[in-house]
Amino acid sequence: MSTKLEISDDILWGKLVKSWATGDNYISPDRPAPKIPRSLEELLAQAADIGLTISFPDGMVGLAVLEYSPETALVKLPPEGMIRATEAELKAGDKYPMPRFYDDFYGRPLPPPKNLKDVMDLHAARIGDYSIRNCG
Amino acid sequence: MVGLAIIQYSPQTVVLKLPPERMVRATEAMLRQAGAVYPMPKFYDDFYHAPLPAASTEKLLDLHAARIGDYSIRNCG
Repeated sequence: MSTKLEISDDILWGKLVKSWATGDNYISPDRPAPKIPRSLEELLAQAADIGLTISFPDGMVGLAVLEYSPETALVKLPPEGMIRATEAELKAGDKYPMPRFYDDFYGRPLPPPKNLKDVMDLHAARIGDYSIRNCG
Repeated sequence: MVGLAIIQYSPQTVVLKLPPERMVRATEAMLRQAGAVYPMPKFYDDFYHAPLPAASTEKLLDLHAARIGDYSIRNCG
């Protein structure tokens, strides 16, 4: 456990999620797809099997898996306490915790924010992105 | 799209949002076309002060996986 969500390999993690979503194995195409995990322990065991390390924030004990139809807009609202905690960290000067793969695909590090408004706007945009995005 | 579901959950719960299979496959097919561009939300370009560079099909599919991994599980940062 840690205080932040840490994923050792964003692409490998994404391939595991795609395997659960489609029933195809994106990591080892000749093998059956992994089963959708029904507990945090199962999820972590599957990750470990493919050499992936995931650390969840301290205190996370439950797992909910959401499956939905393409005809449904699904909005995942982050818990208020987590939003406020991240806002407080950003206001205290912490760097925005952008997942590393964005730097890799942009071929450059995320530029430092111009000011507090800039970093809070990024926080808002990111929440807006992953609260509703469903495939792209 | 005709339905709306709003999910609220406790900070003690990991919520994994699996994208619909049909949408995953449709995006993969689009990314395999010649000259495909990953549909990155515009604000990333704004904050990186640069457009997303062009990439091979293999890299586009890696980016697609990483993006799905990101928004399937991220909950606040």
